Amino acid sequence: FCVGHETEKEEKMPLNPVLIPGVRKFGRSVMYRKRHLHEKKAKIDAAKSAKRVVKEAKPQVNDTTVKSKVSVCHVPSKMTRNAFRKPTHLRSSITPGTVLIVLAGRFRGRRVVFLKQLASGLLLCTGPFLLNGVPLRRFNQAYVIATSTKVDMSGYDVPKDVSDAFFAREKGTGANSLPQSKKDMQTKVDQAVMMRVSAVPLLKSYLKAKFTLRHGDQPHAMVF
Amino acid sequence: EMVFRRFVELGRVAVVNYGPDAGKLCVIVDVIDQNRALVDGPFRETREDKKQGKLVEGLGMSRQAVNFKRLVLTDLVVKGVGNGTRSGTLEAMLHDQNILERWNKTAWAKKLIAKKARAQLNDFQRFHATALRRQRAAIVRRKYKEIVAEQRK
Repeated sequence: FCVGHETEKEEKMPLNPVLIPGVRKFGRSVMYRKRHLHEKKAKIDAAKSAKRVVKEAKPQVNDTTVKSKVSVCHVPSKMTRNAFRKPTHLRSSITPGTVLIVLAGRFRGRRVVFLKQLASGLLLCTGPFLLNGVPLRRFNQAYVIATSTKVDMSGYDVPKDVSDAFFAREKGTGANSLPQSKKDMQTKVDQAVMMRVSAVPLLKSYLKAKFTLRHGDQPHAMVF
Repeated sequence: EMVFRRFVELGRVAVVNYGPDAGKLCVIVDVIDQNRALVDGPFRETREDKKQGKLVEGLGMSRQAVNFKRLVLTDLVVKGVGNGTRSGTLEAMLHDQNILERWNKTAWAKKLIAKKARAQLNDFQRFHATALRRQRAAIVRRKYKEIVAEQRK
């Protein structure tokens, strides 16, 4: 916003337009800035102290006349959006191996094992596929309940190939074709997960079962 | 034969079923008016009985006025509670008459404990409980069929 470039007085927009009689658009602090009093202040103070010192008025010297149209052009620096994008915050209740209950989408009600959070912020999970039909899939944190049940996935690293790019739609191929590489990756990851799931009694049938609300259930009071 | 079997009297043990102290036991120590009773736990949840050398459990209710509507009377009565019985005396009476032990044996108390435990189950535990219930139902059904088949012979 450059001040002082208006040449025609008639078209000049008042500095503080009246919205309603008695109410102006800009408040005190904004007007202080607009009138550039932060620049003039030093000069005004100096003039005031000078006036106090000088007893005889000198008509010619008038330090308080400062050009009302101060051409101060403030060119804002180019604001870079997303200059610093913070990674999506992962709920503390979600750690690798946590059993999640999916609340929406194709697999709603399924219990799923969380593997890791991808760069996009989505949660990489697997059924495992043989238990409940949920493949390696990304889920949004917001549509998921984290249970306190955890599969011990310590020491296991998800293959780096499984990233957001892994889920990108391949151009040219039909919707029903799944490349063998993806199937192999599924088996590979599931093997590791199944090994750990089988170690805990009843965990397999737990992951197989769907979560449902029954009569009398109060989800707000339930402990997950 | 009276229709009512449990009466509001000095020494009657009651369960508070509403309010911040819901679920706690208390003893009616005085009747204030038509609506309210003066009730006492006493407050100390556990204390060490130096004479007996063991941990004694209290009721966790401080001496206060409670509306009868918030109380449910139990079958237990603390004998010897009179006018102006103090908390200390009441505590000793509770201990001598084994009120807490007798209460914990009742089905009512067991049901309250079970309800609390059930509320604290996590999703996996709830699933486990359902699985067990189904197993039990299967056993019962099997047995029932056996009995019916026997009777048909």
